Amino acid sequence: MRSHVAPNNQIVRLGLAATVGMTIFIAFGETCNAQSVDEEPRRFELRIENGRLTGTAKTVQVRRGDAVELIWSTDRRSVLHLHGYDIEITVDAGKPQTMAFRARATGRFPIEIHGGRHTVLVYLEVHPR
Amino acid sequence: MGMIRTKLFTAVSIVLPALGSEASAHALAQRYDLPLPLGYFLAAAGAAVAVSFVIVALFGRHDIEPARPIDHAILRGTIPTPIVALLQVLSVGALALIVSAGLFGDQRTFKNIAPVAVWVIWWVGFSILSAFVGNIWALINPWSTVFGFAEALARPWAKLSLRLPYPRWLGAWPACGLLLLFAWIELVAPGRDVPRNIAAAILIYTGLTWAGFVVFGRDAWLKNGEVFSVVFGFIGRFAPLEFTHDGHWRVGLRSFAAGLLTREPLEPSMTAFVLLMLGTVTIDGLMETPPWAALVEWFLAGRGGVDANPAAYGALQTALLVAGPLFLAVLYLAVVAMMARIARSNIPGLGGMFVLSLVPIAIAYHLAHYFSMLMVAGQFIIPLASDPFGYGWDLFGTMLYRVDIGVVDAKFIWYLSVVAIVTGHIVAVWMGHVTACSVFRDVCIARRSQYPMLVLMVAYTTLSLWILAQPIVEPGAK
Repeated sequence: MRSHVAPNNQIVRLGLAATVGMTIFIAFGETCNAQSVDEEPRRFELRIENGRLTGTAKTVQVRRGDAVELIWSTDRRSVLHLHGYDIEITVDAGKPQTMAFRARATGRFPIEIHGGRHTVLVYLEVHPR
Repeated sequence: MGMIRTKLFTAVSIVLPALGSEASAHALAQRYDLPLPLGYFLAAAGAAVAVSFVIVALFGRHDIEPARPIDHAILRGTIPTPIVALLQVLSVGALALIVSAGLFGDQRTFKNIAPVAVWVIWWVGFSILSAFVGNIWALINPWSTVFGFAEALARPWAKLSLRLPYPRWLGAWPACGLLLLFAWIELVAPGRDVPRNIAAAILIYTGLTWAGFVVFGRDAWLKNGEVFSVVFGFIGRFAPLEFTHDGHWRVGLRSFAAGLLTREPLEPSMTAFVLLMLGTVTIDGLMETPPWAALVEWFLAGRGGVDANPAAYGALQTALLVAGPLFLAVLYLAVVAMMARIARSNIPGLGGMFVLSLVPIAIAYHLAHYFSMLMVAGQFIIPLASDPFGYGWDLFGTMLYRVDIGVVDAKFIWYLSVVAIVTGHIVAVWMGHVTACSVFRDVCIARRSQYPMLVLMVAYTTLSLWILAQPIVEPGAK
């Protein structure tokens, strides 16, 4: 028996099947993600020495909706900029400063030390709930 | 708390003067996408492989008819001339605005409409529009519009075009060269976010395009030399709307991807063009991945790092930009050679038959890669529309609009990526098989001929997913 289905119809059917499959996948994914928003701020103490972050952390990870406090201390005057959220602070040696904000947008945002060259100190990762 | 500027949702305004010169992997970088989590990556890659086998199995059971003629449109209509004219006037006006803003406006990237309008709205926006709606560029190409108008005006007195016969050997090679140059400007060239440079590039390209129209006639140059007509033309073959011109503009409705099924093989230069398109799309993403950054940093470590060697870094990027598409071309030609061996036939133009079946994978990847950038960076057009020159105007009352960086949730992008890439892969595999059936006329041979193609497709899809699963980094930034 010969099949007389036009190829573009077959493409449409397969596309539909895939879409249905993915919808089920999405629906399943969504049910696993009901969590509440923490009211307690997520605090991170970060220290810069010689223009670099001490320790080995490459990312600061929070969840969407978290209240976040990044507490910065440095060994010299530094201008720090959190991209995306666009928060800029100037930190002097011995006088810690805080970036406080609510993580309303998901994404991966570089925090750079400005002045001369722009160097990424650490990435803020805001993950979806 | 200190001096904190908590402008949560904001134009990246304060620090922008420095942004234009910053090294970044893409024009107007500032992409804040989270990498695709491992689970999504594995689910999508697994689905792509599984689906490939399912399609192969399906093809074993049926004797499939050769692909139908390419005239797939189910509905056809004519677009009213006033609508076309209006769109064309808007398009020419937009180009004039972009060029004058670039030349005379504020030179800071986000204080001038040119960079966002060109890199985000037009280049990213139009490629997505071309893929999912139709190749509207064909209707509104401003260079073609102005030249056509000038030709019509001059007709009683003179012919504007020499209409020399277009040399066959030249084919679409001019468009290939221009695409490579454009990709280089997009991904490598320093100063590509500077409004004046953009305006200058547009003016030069305008001159070149009109020269092409004058020498070879408008149609010949649009087909072979006007790179954006060729790019959006190929991408637009995936779209459900098909625009054709025969004195009036006609629109036809067809199924997605139907326009990519060819009966006639592509010319070698067109095949090269498609491979170049596919290659540069991937290289764009590859240049933001940690392994590439590590390679660059390792290479430049002995010479003082990336910052001290902008030229060497540019040279490395250029090398990758050339090597990537070449590598893809070699792989593709090897696959075609294997296909010919399996089929034991020497069909002329075999290489021009299968290249378009890879396009859906690239379109899916492009959507996944750029959707959030279009939605976030694209918002800059709202304040800039009110103040295109950065003179402090407020034409539409939107000058103070603040960009909402939270407009698309990462989870939405992840699902979109997985759905788009798996669907793109399915369509690609299916198209390869349909084409093989019509070329080889024998289901068994057709099926076996597609094994090497299947490997290439799975590899291309997996690479696309892998790039999406990488955190975005800049070489030398850390």
